[in-house]
Amino acid sequence: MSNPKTIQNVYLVGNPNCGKSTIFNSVTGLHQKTSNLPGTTIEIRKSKITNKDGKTIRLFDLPGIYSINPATKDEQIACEPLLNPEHKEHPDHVVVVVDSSNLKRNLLLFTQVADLGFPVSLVLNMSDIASKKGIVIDVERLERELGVKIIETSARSGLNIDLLKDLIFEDGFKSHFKCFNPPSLKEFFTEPTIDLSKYNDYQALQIVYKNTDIVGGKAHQLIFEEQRAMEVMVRYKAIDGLIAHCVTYSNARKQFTKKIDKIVTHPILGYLIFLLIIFIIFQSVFTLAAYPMDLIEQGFSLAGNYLSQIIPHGIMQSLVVNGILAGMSGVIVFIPQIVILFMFLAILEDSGYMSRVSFILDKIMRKFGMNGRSVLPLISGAACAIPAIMSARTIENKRDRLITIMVTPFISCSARLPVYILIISIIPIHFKIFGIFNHQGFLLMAMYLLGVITSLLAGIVLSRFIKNTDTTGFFMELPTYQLPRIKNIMITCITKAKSFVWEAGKIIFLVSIVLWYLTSFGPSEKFKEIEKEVAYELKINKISDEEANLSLALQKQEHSYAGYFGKTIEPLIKPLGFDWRIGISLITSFIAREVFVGSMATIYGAGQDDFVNIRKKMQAEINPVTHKPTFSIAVCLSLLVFYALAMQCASTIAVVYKETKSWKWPTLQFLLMSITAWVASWVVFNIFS
Amino acid sequence: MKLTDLKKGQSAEIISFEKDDLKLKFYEMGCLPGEKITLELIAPMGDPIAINIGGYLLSLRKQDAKNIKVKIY
Repeated sequence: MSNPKTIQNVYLVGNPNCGKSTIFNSVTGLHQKTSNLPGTTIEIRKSKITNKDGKTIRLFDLPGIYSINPATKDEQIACEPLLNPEHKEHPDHVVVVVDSSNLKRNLLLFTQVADLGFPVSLVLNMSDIASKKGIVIDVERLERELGVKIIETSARSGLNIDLLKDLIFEDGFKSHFKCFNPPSLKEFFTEPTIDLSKYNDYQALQIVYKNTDIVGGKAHQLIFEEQRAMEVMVRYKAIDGLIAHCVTYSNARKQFTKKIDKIVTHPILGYLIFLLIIFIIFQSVFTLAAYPMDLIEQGFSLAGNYLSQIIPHGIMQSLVVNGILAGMSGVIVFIPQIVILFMFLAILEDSGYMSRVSFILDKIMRKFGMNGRSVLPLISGAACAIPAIMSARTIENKRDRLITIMVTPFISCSARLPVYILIISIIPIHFKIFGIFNHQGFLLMAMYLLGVITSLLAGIVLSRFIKNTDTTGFFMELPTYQLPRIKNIMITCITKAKSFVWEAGKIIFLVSIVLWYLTSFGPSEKFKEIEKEVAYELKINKISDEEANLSLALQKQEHSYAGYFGKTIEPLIKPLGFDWRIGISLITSFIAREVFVGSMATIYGAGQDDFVNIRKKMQAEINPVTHKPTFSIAVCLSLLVFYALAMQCASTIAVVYKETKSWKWPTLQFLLMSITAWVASWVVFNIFS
Repeated sequence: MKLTDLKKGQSAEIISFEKDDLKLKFYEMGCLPGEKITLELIAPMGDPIAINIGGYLLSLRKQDAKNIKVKIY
């Protein structure tokens, strides 16, 4: 249709909480791509859309910013398309979205963007809230004063969204509203330093601000700060004048937000409501996600059975069924939890409650090197670290976000539960507390507490090492409460699931294939002989088919690469009381921790789902050296602690890589967690043996 | 007096800022000298606080808020 060169780049720009993302979602629907700005986890969303006349544009949703003065490196990158005139996706039309109920602060950004010389339009969003607050804007007058096209919308109620869709396809106008006269710097900067002659004065000023190195060091930066502060003041003065002309305030209706805030920030009620909400979310993620997860697993197992029948027995069959299908299943099985968790988080965020949670918990979390925003990722970690780590994106402070990501996997996730249950069921101790709680409940609770305490302690330790580079203070808007929009929430959930599948999913898939290879092949000739030997036994010694299968599985596990690894790491795990068989299970647990149970089943020759049988055989196992049960109290406790604290989840590593955009953090996290787990298990093993 | 000395619900006028490096950020958020500021909420543990400035609610940590000097009308 249109030639790519003539496709215009249209940018949606606005403050955080101005409803910009809702606008973007209602204009583009699911037809959008989310990508990270280079070197950051800041998301920029884009979409190529065509209107009914056949005109195509590229629409960009820039992250919310309060001004074009970047305070952090990440903000600087976010502002790049606006500040760098050479940017390859240079805006042809900037649509500034403002919160009409907070016009003054929102217009600051508008005046800056207009001064950069872009053709602009203005969207007065959240007009429903403004009118509830008794704010009436004279749109025609404002249009005349600014010289740009203006529309009033409410993305939530859908008011004037059609007009907005038309607006983004039109050309913007350069605003004639002048509130700040930038100094003319052009003549001082010509080649060979930087040539500013082709830019307007305000663009030139921004380029000089950015290139502190060409004008001098720290002292200049301080002068720049002061200069920028003066600029902001001058702009607000002009905006005040504008508002006096164009906006009238009448008596507001009783404010709903104030009443709710009184309750949700109440010293007792506030925390109770928070706990109740968390409980509901948690319960839902656990119970609601279980059904689709079962379906996915059953579906893959059916597909596996079917493919086993049509593909002849051999490597090909094993690769397809145990490698590729298992790998796909390992990615897709996380989707229900991600979707359900993000649905709740989006509701909390959209309604405005999320920032109140941060408000009431910020002080506690600060002690552990995090902030109020870290609470939800940490709690979500009890369901699954994958969506939890993904949700840490809402933490703006870079250090706090990193620490939250690093410590979240210490929280016991649902995949550890089957492991805990198996080990606790075979541990040879029995006691009761107050005559009601037995040792099983007590141990299970202790495991969860261990996870929480370790994650908080790790937060304290990490905060000593990771410096806080964002010195901009902790400013957070508490937005007016609003009803969440279902469509918006659905789009958030689906885009999150998509980004997980594409970014982390491929790593998880690859790791699954590698693990399949390690468990299905062995280094020695012996491995190839296993099947022959078992076939021979089947024929000569008349063992049953079932026995033959168990023997085959056991021998394959022992002589596979994974088995050899298990034996190789034995010296490393011996001080913890583990033998090579537990070593194999530790390695196969990388697929998912609950695989431990299946691995144990193979080792002890029990049927895969025969929980009672595995238990019996594990309890009956005698250590050949000590002639005592292998799974003594010390070994069981050591194993429990190891599973609680060790990083044994390939998927988590993949997601941490996705969220930090570097291998440094997942590597550090792996080391931190493994060393912590090793030391803690060693201590426990030695105390109890 | 400092912003943090206000009582809940009390309003004052912003006079100046103590630390220069937060000044730009405060300005951008609409906290300018001469503006009316109201201490709207205090978190249960005394920190952070939320102020009403220009009709919206802004949460600040006390360590940042104490840089704002105010005068009660």
